Amino acid sequence: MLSEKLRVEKLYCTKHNTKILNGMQFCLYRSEILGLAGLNGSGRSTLANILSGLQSFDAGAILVDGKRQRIADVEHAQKLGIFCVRHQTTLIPELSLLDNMCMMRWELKNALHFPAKNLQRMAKIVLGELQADIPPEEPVRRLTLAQSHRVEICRAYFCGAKVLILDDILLSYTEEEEHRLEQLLQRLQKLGVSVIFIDSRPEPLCRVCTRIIAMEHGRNVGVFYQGDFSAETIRKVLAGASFQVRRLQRDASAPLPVCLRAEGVCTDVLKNVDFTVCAGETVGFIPENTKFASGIVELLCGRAPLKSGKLLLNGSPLVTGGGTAVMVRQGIYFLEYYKNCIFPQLTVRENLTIAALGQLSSGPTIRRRMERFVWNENAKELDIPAELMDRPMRKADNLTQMKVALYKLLLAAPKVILLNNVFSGTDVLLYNCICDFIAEAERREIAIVYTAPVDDNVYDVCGRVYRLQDGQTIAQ
Amino acid sequence: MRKNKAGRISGRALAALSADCVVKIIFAAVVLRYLCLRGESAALCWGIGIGVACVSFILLYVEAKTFYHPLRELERAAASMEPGEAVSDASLLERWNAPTGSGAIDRLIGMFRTVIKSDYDSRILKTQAEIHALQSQINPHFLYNTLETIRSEALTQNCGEIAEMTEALATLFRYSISRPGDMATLEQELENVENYLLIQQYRFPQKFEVVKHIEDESVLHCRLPVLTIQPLVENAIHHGLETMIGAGKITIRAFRTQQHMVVSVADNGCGMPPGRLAQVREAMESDEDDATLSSRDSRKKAGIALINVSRRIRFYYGPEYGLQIYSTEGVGTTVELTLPCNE
Repeated sequence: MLSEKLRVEKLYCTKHNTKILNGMQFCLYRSEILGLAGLNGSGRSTLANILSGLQSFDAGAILVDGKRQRIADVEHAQKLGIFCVRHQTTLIPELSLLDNMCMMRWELKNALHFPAKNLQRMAKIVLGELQADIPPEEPVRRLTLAQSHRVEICRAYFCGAKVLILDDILLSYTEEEEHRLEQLLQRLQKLGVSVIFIDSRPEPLCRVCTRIIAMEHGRNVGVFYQGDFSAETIRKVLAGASFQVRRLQRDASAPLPVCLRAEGVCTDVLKNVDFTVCAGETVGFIPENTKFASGIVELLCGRAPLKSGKLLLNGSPLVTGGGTAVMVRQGIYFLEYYKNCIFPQLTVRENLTIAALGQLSSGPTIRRRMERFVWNENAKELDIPAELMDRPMRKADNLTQMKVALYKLLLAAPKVILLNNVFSGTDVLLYNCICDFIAEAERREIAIVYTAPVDDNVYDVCGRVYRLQDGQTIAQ
Repeated sequence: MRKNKAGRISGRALAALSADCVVKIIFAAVVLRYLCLRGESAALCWGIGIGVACVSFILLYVEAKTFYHPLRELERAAASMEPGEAVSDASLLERWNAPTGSGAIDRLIGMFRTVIKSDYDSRILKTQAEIHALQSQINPHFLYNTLETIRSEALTQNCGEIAEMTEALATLFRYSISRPGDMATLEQELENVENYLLIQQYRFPQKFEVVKHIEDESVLHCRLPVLTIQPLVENAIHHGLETMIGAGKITIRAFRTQQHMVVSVADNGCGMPPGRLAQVREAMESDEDDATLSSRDSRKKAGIALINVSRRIRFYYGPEYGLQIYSTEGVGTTVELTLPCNE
């Protein structure tokens, strides 16, 4: 017999006159790993916030262990046994792992020493039981993001978690780190903890979940039990049966001239790196660890100066270390998280105008006819409905925001675009949107450099890939 | 007795109003007399007297309108409801629609309306079930005997498959015809589904496979209204798999918690377009009767069985129970049934 741990009944939540949750309802059973799949903006994180006491709701009911509860705040949620782990870790970096584990225990209030010896002992037992595989005395600042998340999960269990919510924490995990997390979740499942696992990609959910609920526009649109689901099924439910994940097709035409060339480049992180990027080509980097990926990003963003070697753009040496603005003036543009690249208060139209200012302005005035042409052409190309053009970007859906963030780059007529970890946290629609953008940029003979801490999509989107080890390029 | 009491209440109200009227007339007379004694002119006395009388009558009218009339209306409405009388009269419900202006009375009336409506619905459902049963039971024994004869003949002719089908059909008929309105265990419901599937497997060979996941044996003893699961399976075959190219799969899953029993029937068939799904969901939550539903969209009957099952469940167990339907075109349909766990 299953034991009902949490029941959500017809939950409604409105924010900025937009319905975020629209009658969401589900049950979570004891020892269950329940996956919440959905496109970006489907209301999964809002649900996580409501359940963990960060946000209130307008109508509906939440029952914990069969009792109706109005979760007032995070502390109340934790008293009920509901803990949430988000991508942004809440550990204190200056303290050790054990200190972080012990600091949320209620015994702390009456303890003379922090942390009390018995608490430390208990924390060590919990770490051993969950096989966290992290030295207990290790300072948290030395931990990777995935290790920090594992510590947070162990801390939640140590503090009596009965329901654990993981809100999109896999954004920059390696395959190995994902595997370790899955093992930890299975151990927690055996110990009777129920998990709500939220992720944008169906694959990790399908690997570990016993049941998956598909969410759309703030309500559940599908429920799938173990054995009945596959990543393909979930993707079809979310994006439509005719949906196909975009595969970039490249024909073997004559190579274009080299646009960006690095010869023996050395920075604080990189040691003797060589690479070339041709016009209309997408080149990726697979680093040994995240440090080297950020080395390439720092160099091409103008944040890291060149110590030795040559970095040439169309044969001319690049000025490095002068900041992003200097790099933009030289024709190298940078995109990381799409929401940071748009002006949320301005309309779609205004965002596009700003991106194309170079083409539209002659002195202090803007050529209006040219501006209208840019709007009309891009609205058609981006497939943005006319009524959305005059709405503030913050009110537009995630797909429109992504399209505008990407196509703003094209309007600025760059020579090289640096895309850093752009696929992180994207759903299938956003994935296709980025692939379309890359294809369009290649068609316009713009060079693209793609970097990411994990090599998930590198081979899918790049024409050529460099492997970095010890700060050097070792293979192409 | 009830009528007499009701009569006394309105009578008392009328007496109170009459007394009030008499008091007002006496008051007018006293004022008139006082003015006469003071030696005021006759015209002024008559004017003030008539004025006081008019104001008194206006006050009396307002009192009658405010207190006596609503009370009399309420009494009439109550008097029209006799104990044991059939409450199928829609005009009675209409009469109770008008608010009285008093929150407590309106709430009371609302409660009465709900009870009357529920009783009315139950009578209709019961009558429908009886009519269906009567229509089907034209001569069930003749039907069963005929089927048994066919089965025996098939066995004699070494036609095992025909015998098996005939037996399944007879069992299916016995289950559906002979116990309308009854409760059954999940085990009995699943046996009935087995018989139905056996016939359908002969009708559509190699068209679909059926997988059952019963998480816990104890769920099989939970009781639910008869003919709840079979319509869901029938719906999955008829609307999900029949028109689909290639073989399909139906998954029946059942498990229980401390309070609930959950049964889900999922198919990987052609699914429903979003518009149709929204219609079915809306109909499942509305209280429209079958005739309205059928006539509104007679061409697209997909979901009528779901709507009926959902309404029956909600009727038996309340609005917090019922069906949840999820469907994606080209992917399939899942129907999830949540019921209280009664053994």
